[in-house]
Amino acid sequence: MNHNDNRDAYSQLGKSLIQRHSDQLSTQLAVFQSALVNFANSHGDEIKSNAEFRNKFTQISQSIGLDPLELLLSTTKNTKSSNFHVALAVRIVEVCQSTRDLNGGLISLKELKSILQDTHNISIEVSEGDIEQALGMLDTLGKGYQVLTINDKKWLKFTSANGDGISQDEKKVYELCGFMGGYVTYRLLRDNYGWDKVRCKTVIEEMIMNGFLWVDNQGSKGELQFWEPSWISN
Amino acid sequence: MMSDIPQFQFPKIHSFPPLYTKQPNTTILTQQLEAWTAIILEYCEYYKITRISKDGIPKHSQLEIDLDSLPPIFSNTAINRSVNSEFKTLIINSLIHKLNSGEYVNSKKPELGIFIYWRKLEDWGSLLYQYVDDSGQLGTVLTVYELTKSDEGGLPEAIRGLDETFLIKIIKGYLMKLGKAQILMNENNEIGGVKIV
Repeated sequence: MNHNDNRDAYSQLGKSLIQRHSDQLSTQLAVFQSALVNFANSHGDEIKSNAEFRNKFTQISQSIGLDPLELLLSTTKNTKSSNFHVALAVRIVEVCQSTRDLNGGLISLKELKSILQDTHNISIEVSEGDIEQALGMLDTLGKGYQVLTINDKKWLKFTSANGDGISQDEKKVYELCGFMGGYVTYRLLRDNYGWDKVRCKTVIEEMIMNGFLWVDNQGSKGELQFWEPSWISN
Repeated sequence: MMSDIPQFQFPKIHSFPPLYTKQPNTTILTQQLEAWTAIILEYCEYYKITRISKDGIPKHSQLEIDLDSLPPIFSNTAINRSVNSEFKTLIINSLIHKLNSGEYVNSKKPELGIFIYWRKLEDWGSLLYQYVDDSGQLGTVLTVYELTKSDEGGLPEAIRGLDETFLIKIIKGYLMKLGKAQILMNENNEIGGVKIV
C-alpha cells in the first residue's frame, strides 16, 4: 500500500517535471520564433540582397519549424508589400490544389480566407482584397484563377492549364443550388431558366464530370438531385 | 449491467444526401469511399465494435450495450437516405482490400460477418501478450473464457469483453505466426485452451 503510494507520487512528480520542461521548451521556441520574425523584419533588405545570408536564414527558419514563406507573410503584413502578396499567391495555389478533389476547383473566398488564416504557426491577417490582389499577380501566368460573384458571394474558380473556365450555364446552376439549399434537379432548371432537356443534361453531366456536382438518386418522387459539394464544409 | 454512453456523433458528411448514392465520377467516388470507410472505423472504435455484418449491422461490441439501439451506419432517417446493398459491398470491399482494415471472419461464410480492425491485429496481439506477460501467466494454459469474460482475472479494459472468434483470430492470425501461442484442442475437437509463451 505504502509502496504503491510512493510509486504513484514518484510517477506524478515525474509527469509534472516532464510537463514543466516541455512547457519551458515551447515558450523558448515561441520566443525564438518571434525573435526571428523581428530579425527578418529589420534585416529584410539584407536577406533579400545577400544570397548566402538568405540561404542560412532559410535553414534556421526550417530547423525550428518555421516555413520561410510564413515569415514572408508575417514580416511584411504591416506594410503589405508586394512580397506579402506574392507569398499569399503561393499559398492560394497550394490551397486550391489540395482542396480541388473535394470542391472541383470552386471555392468560396470566405472559406479560402479561413483556410489561409488557420494553417499558420504565426497568425496572419488576410482580407478578401488581399486575396484578389494576390490573384492579380497570377494573371500574368495565364487565366487559371477567376473570381466570380454568385448570389452576392465571391468564389474563386480554379482551372487546370487546359480548362477554359466556368460557363454561364454552370454559373446559373450554382446560383440555383444556392437558392434551393444545395441542389438542383432537371425540373428546377427547366422551370426557372426554360432550358430544354439537352441543355440541362449537357451542363449537368459536364459539371459531374468535373466534380462540381454530386448525384443523389434518392430524392423525393425518385427525381435525381444534383448537389454542390461545398455544402459539406460550410 | 448495460453501459450508458452518449450517441456517436456522425461527421457532417453523413447528412449530405448524395453520400448515399454511388458517384459516377471516379475521382469523387474515391473521396466518397474514403469518407465511408473513415465513418465505419470511427463508429466501430467509438462503440468498441469488432465485428459487423456485411450489411453494416454491429455484431459484437466489447461494451455491454444494446447493439439494436445504436444508430445505423448506412442510413440516415433524418434525411431519408440509405445505401443500397451493391454500394455497401463496394464500401466494405474498399475497407478490406484498400485499407486492410477489415477481414471476413470466414470468406466461405460471409454471413458470419467482417472483423473491423480499428486497431491493427498486431496491436491487439501485443496488448494480449502484454497482459499475459504482466500477469505472470506466460506458459500457463488459459481458457478462452478467462481471456474474454472473466472478471476475476483483472483483464485490462482494452481487451476485456472480446468476441471469442475475434480472440482466436488474434491468436491464430498473429501470435501463432510469431510462435508465441499454441491452441490446445479437447477430445471433442473444440478449443480447450490457449497457451501464450
